[in-house]
Amino acid sequence: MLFNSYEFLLGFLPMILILYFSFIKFKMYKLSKLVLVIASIYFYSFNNTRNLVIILCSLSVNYFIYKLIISSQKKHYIILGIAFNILLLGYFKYTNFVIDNVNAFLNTNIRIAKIILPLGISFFTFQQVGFLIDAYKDKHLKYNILDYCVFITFFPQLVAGPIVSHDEIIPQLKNRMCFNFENFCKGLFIFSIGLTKKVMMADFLAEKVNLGFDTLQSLTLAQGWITSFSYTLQLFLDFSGYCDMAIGIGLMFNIDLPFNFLSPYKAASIKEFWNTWHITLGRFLSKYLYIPLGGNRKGKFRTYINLFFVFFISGIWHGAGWLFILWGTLHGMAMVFHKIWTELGLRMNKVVAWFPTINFVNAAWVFFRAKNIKDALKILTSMTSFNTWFEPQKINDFGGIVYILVLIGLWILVLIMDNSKERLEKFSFNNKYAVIAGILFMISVLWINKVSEFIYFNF
Amino acid sequence: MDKKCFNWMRGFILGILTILIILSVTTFVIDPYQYYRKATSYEPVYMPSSERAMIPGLIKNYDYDSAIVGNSMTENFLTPLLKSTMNWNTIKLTMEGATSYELSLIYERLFRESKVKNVITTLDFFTYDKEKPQSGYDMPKYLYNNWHIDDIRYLLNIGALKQELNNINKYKGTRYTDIGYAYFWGDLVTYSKDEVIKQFFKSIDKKDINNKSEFNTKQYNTIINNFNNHLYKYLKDNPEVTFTIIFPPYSVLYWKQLQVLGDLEEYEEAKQYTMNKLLELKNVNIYDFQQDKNIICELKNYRDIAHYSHEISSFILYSIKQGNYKVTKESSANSLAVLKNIIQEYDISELKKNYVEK
Repeated sequence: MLFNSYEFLLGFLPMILILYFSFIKFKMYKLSKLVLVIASIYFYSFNNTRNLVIILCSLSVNYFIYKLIISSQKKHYIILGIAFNILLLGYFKYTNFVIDNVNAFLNTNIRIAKIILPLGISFFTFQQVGFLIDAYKDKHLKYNILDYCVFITFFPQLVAGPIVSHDEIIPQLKNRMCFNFENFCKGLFIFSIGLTKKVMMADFLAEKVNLGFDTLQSLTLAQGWITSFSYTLQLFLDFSGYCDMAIGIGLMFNIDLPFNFLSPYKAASIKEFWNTWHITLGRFLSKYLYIPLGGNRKGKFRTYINLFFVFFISGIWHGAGWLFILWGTLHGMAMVFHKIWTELGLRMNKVVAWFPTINFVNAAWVFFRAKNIKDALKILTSMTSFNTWFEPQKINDFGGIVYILVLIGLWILVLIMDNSKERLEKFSFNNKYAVIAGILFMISVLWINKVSEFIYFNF
Repeated sequence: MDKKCFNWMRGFILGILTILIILSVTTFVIDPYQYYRKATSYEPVYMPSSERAMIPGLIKNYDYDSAIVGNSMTENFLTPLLKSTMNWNTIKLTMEGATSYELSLIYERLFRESKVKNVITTLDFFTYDKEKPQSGYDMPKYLYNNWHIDDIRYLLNIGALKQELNNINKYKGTRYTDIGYAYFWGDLVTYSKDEVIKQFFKSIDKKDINNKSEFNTKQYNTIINNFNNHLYKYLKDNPEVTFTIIFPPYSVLYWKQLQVLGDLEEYEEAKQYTMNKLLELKNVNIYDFQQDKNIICELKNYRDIAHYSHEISSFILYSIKQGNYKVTKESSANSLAVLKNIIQEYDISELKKNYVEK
């Protein structure tokens, strides 16, 4: 099920809120959690019952291994746990990729059916791996199966994050808070912003992005820049819109979810970008990969290697394809470059530094989005083909000057407006904002005539 | 705190209501589907993409005494031609890729208005052989029923409003604003013998040409049930309306395809059954163009194995005016036998040699 669908907005969400808070009101706490778990699993397997089997399998095996770990703290149990999760993820995500490459490099002809990636498997697998490692380190980590299931499956964050840690969610469940009107209003506010970002903005940009990346065979200079900057914005609005909606729904249930985006496109360095883009993934990779590898404690050179490796893995995690690996490699190199730059004591004015940062991020997203290297190079070469700079009729394919103005307008909004966290912190019960939120909410709801999936569901 | 929250919620709901009111008033005033009234302040556009949504408004708000009801086989029937030949004042109520259930919705709506005296339609079994009522097209059923509350779905359809406004603006002054040419695609496509043959061989790809499958009773029953519930019922219940039922001239390759796929016998049986049943009704005139070898074997007049050109569409209307191709109780058996004969005699292995293997 998708947040941006009528069945979710008009049926599922109101019903689950009513059930959840009714059970809390009557002090039936276990039932209230059970409602969340059943609802989340229903939400997850709404369009595909195969997903039901996968998530139940993943949950039960991981919980069983967790029990083994806390009973004896033996190392082989944690190895078993990590291996199980990597194999599960590896099978669904990378089998086809590996076989295609084996066929290409070794000239073999192995054929298997295309394995379809279950929704959000990367997210709940990472969350469970993190949990098992934490349980291995802390044997006092004792949770019952219901709490564990709520933590993993809580539907706002199940399919595309934010990737949460057990100590962020489970203690909040113990509060047993009744319906809180203030949280509900805040949740609705942030949800409306997220829905607007997704339905009104990201889906609007998607049309031109698809045109530039997939449909047109060759692009002019202007078309190349419009396409790449449209995608850069689309990805942000799509994913951060989803996260805003998740945070908003979390708030309605009195559960604070961590912020995943803090104005990443305002970043004046690649490091700042990664501190503000998909924060919970960065946090996860840092805690469970970068630090165990030695982080910055084993000398400069090793730090560079570790840093690079984390981004390389991040590239692989995002998808089974050479372009994702290339994208991860580029960011890894940029991070190392930035590290060396700062260690040399070099400085750059913030505004000046923003320019290369956003352009690097923008160019790297081309590899992230393109279906193949040919399409990626088509966009990148067009962005430097100055001989085509003035072909105004070609811009008309992209909606002409009106579209360019809208694109610029959206970019300005993203660059000057407060992010969702700041908005929530400054939230006051101001009637003007309430009306605006209501207007945005309603337009977005009515705009859902063609339900579109979120980009990050595929990772 | 709760008071603040209530006030905030009130503002939020006010925002929601503002949009609901602005949008529904705008849609009501512009009324892009002419659902409330005939458009006078702008030129409405008749695009195939909005056929299904446009029909209820056309039925309710236009003056007519005759109606074309059907699928793409009738989309190229021109209402001005019906005016000049039969002096019918016709409204075109067609749906691309219609199912018989969808056509029944048109009949329900049409006969609630009691304006129509003549109905002209084609009887295509590929429209009647679906078990599912809906086609893949977006069908705004809420505009067809008697219930006004659900019309809110039209009033709040921001996507439709946007699309229609775009179309009205884009096609201003073009043929698409001429209701006489509504949904006409005749001169927008190419007719090619090569394409038809290519498509035919693709559709029967890997099928054994001499294969003869069992009579599919389930499929036959579906056709008959749909015919009875979605067409015959209306013919019988409206004796004051004259119905012109056309068995349209698909190319011979359409029949050959049925033969190769093993469905021909059910379709022939269905044709016999429906024809006999229709012949019993006094208010029904039947015209069978499927027996004319000169039309159905001339593949250059086809867009694909089933869709004939707009010239053939016009020929059909002229012929009806002259009373040609009319089926009577006496001629019906012969009409079925002639088609059977054409199908048997037509040799596709020859075609394969000349077009595919060349």
